[in-house]
Amino acid sequence: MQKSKFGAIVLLVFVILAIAAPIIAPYDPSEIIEEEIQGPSLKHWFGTDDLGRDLFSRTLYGARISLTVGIVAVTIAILIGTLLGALSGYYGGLLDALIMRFVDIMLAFPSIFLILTIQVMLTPSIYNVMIVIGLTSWMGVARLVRGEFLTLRERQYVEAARAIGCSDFRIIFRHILPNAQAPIIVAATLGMAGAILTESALSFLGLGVQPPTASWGNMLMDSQAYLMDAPWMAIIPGILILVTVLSLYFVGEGIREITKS
Amino acid sequence: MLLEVKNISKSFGKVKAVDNVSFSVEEGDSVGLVGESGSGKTTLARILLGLLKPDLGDLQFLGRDRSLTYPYNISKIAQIVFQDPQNSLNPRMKIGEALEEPIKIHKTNAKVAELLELVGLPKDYANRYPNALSGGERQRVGIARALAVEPKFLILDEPVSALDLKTQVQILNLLKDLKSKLNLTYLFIAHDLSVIKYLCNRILVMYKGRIIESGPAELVFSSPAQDYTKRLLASVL
Repeated sequence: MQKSKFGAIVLLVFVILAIAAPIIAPYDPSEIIEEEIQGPSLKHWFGTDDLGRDLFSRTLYGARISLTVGIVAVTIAILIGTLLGALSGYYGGLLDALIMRFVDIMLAFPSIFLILTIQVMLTPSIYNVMIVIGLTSWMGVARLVRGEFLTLRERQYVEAARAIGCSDFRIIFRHILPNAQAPIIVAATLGMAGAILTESALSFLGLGVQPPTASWGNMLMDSQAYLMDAPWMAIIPGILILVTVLSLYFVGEGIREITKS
Repeated sequence: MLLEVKNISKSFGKVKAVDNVSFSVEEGDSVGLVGESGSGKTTLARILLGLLKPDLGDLQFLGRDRSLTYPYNISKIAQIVFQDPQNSLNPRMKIGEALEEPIKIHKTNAKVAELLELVGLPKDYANRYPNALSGGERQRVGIARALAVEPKFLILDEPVSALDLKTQVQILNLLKDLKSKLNLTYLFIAHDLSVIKYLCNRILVMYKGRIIESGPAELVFSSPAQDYTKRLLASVL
């Protein structure tokens, strides 16, 4: 419970900072303003990078990108996963078998290689990163939602809805889905952590968010060559990714605990 | 004739849940369907509601069949009140929303406030969620929801067996009032014969998927023809 509160507060602060980046950031994140590779100081809180850009400003703008990618990718994954899982669990039979085999096929690909392959073929852009991560991470949600629907569709209020004359559409979205939302929210928080990590990994490999746009992942990539001379360049985005992902996990665990009781 | 059931059968695997059942219900009747659990009462009810398709047989409401074989159409005439008020209401829907739903689907003239009043609940219950209500109150909501469709025929599937004795009496009285007020026809499913005796004028006794005895309530109670009915009566009285 304490951990999840901590996580929620951290996330809230990060989101506010990310939204307020244009106001807070002391410099333009892409502007080359100073001599390169300066350590943290009062003038540059997080130092400057190899091109002489202010790292605090870049971190704030990077948070916007990283969090947005996480949110959008997870939204895509939740939408696809919920829809397919709901159809699968509600109707069962052949449709269920088809959807679940499709899930198995998607899961059989190591997703990072799948993402890399797609990213190499497409022109790398933030939007592609979001879509590709979303399209390759919905399978867990689909399985989860299917399981929920399998149990919930046997509830008496579902039969009552049917007796009243509710359409399948209405039963799925008005009667069953609202009762399955807690595990979906948990999956969304955990999925967002995963999406942020994937975005970082992609950007680190140069296939994600493209410079000069800052994301925490490509800031890490920029730091590679200067690990000995400028460790802050790697440590700061690294810690931020770690803290964000951990906070999301804590929040997810917290919601799971609350809804269990 | 409100409802005519002809030779309906339904099996689940090798089990014959409903075995060649025929009966009819006149408008204004209050028919008691008695039998121990597993005798096929609930399966029969689900078939009557169109929730389950019979393997064989025919079922006619108001003399018409084809146009009423779709669940949607049956739901306009026949409604059900479930046994367990804890589970028959969607926990994520306010009472008002739950009552609004059938009104919208069937475009009836019923009003949420009037429905609540009809079943003896305060109007402001419309804004509450089911978990804020007692078992008896939920069962009243269940009744109101069924009535929102303005049905002619109400199937009551053990509507009081999950309630305490005092609440049972209140709900039974409510059902009796509603029947005369709204000119309803009841099919009352129960294993508790005293409840049936209170409310029903005709009785069907079901055993292993078959209807083994039927007739006017007084007759079945005073001189049961079947041994099974005698035992059933003896076990209660």
